[in-house]
Amino acid sequence: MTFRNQGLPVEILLVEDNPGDVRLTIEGLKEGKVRNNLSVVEDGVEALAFLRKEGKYSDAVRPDLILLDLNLPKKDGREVLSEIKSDNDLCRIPVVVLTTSKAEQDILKAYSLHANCYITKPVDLDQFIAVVESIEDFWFTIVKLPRDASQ
Amino acid sequence: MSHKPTYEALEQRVRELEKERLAWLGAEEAMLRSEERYRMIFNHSPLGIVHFDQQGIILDCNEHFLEVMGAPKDKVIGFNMVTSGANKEMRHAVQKALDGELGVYDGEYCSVTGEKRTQLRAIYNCLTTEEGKFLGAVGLFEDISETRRAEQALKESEQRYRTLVETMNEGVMIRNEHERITYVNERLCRMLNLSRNDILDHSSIEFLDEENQTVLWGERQKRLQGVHEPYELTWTASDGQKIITIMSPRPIYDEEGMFRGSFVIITDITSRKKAEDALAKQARELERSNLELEQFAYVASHDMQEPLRMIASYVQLLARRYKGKLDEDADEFINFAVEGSKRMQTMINDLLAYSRVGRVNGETQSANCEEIFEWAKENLGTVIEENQAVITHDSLPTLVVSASLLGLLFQNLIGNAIKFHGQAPPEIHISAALVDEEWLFTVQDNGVGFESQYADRIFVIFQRLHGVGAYPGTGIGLAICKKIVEYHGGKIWVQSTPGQGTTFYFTIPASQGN
Repeated sequence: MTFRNQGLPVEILLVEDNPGDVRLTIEGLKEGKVRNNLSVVEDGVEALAFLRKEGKYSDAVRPDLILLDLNLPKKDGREVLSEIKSDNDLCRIPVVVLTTSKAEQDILKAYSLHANCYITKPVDLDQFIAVVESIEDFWFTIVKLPRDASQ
Repeated sequence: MSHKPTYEALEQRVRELEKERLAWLGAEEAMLRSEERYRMIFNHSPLGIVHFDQQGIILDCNEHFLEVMGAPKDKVIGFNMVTSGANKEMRHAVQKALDGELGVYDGEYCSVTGEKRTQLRAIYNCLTTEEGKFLGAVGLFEDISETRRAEQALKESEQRYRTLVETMNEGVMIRNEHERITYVNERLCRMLNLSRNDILDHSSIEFLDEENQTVLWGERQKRLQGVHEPYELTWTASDGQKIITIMSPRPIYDEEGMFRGSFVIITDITSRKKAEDALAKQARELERSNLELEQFAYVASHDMQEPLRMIASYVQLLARRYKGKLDEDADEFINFAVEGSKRMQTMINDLLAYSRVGRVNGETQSANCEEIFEWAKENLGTVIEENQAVITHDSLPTLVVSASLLGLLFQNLIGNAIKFHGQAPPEIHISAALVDEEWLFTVQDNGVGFESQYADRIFVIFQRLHGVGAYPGTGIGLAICKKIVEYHGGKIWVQSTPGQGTTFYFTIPASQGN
């Protein structure tokens, strides 16, 4: 991952309809160690348009990581996940499902649709911030991703 | 002028006389034999026979007549039946015979001579020459007491059964092999709101709607194959009312074994059916409302989590960023807001867990309770270690249950026992025994216990016996236990003495397992 050596910030796409959660994620990322660019879309349709650089997203940057909520308006997270993972171009972008649901069937379904990991949003703020930091840390400093994922 | 017979003539006369004598002797012998025969018939007749004269005075009678009258012969001979008979009708019958007609008496009779009461049939007849000269009269007596008794008994029995059939609460119908109704009782008439004549000689089909005609048709086919099982049939009464019945048919066969129709007992189950339907409706309604309530609890707690998480997160963010930067009051207020929101989050989580019991992980299958118990113990590993708890158990059965729910039940009860421990390290013992059709589980501890007046309250959601500061928790654990036990069709209760410990009891129906 040469981009970080060059001092470029990592690109993260957050798919989240709740502005409160968006802000909390921003706060969490702010406290993290990795320099990042966060893009935010509010529903599933927007997310796919962003990833496919459609319409107003023609200039969108391909994200290095997607943080995906499950309960979204228009097209929910499960559908978005399914479309990403069945898209030859997008399927290698790691998708972290970040949701409030602890339900077994949601977890099972997410992994069946090839989510890269499933995280339940901690209700405690300190834990939430810690989780966002660990996501960053894990995916950008520990995990080895394929080169083309960032191209 | 005298005529002197010759020797030859005399000899001829002697021969003639001798011949006459022999003929006479033969006739006399024949007569004697005939007399003897009739005497024998007279004496041994199974009928009482009496011979009387033109005045009605008894001249002779046989043994059987004496038996019927219950009197000795000397009392009977010479008795005048016309003047001394006690029974007017009997006297008339005798007189009628003397007048040349047949006299008949049929009925109860008490003899004057023997004071014997019998049921009699008597026939008097008078014998006359062709010219009408009276020759004599006879009476034939038959004791018909036995016949009468049998007839009476039959009549009473018939009456008894008729009363029974007519007054019974079940409808009764007899139909012949051509499906024509040949008998109905009063109850069936009332059921169908029809008179007997409206039903008799008709076919059942005429009192059924199309759907039930089909049912009856099907049953008829079965009947032809020799199947005679009770079945449900709905009649249409004359006023249009639907009468739901259970038909219990019995075939009738004649002596040659030919099917001659059937005898049917018809039980009106309309009101029972209505009550059952009402009950089923109520049960469905209750189930629906329970489901709705659970759905509500789930949705409420699930959807409330989101805004609450926002409140909690942002008051925490406030505390994180601004603690010590505002004044002391602000710090305190923020602190209360943080604590309150955290507690609310716990409660909502608990409520969610409560509403999930049975809705999630509710599938039951055969499971070994010892393995479930070990699983629960493992989950409590840290707590058990920290409190040096000693947990023992007797042999536990294999039951058809939801293993994850039963595990949660064990975990909650054991966890509860550890949480409310006394001075000594907690000692908890679990046992199970088959009582009647249920497995009775006991979870006994040596903890602080509580006053028995609270025994019901502790199973109510969010009910606690201690202040928030004394023991952690929202008061959901035992409510979940209750829900799990009831989900499996059992009951849970508790006995406790302050300072002595607590025993929880719960049952799981054995039919759920083996």
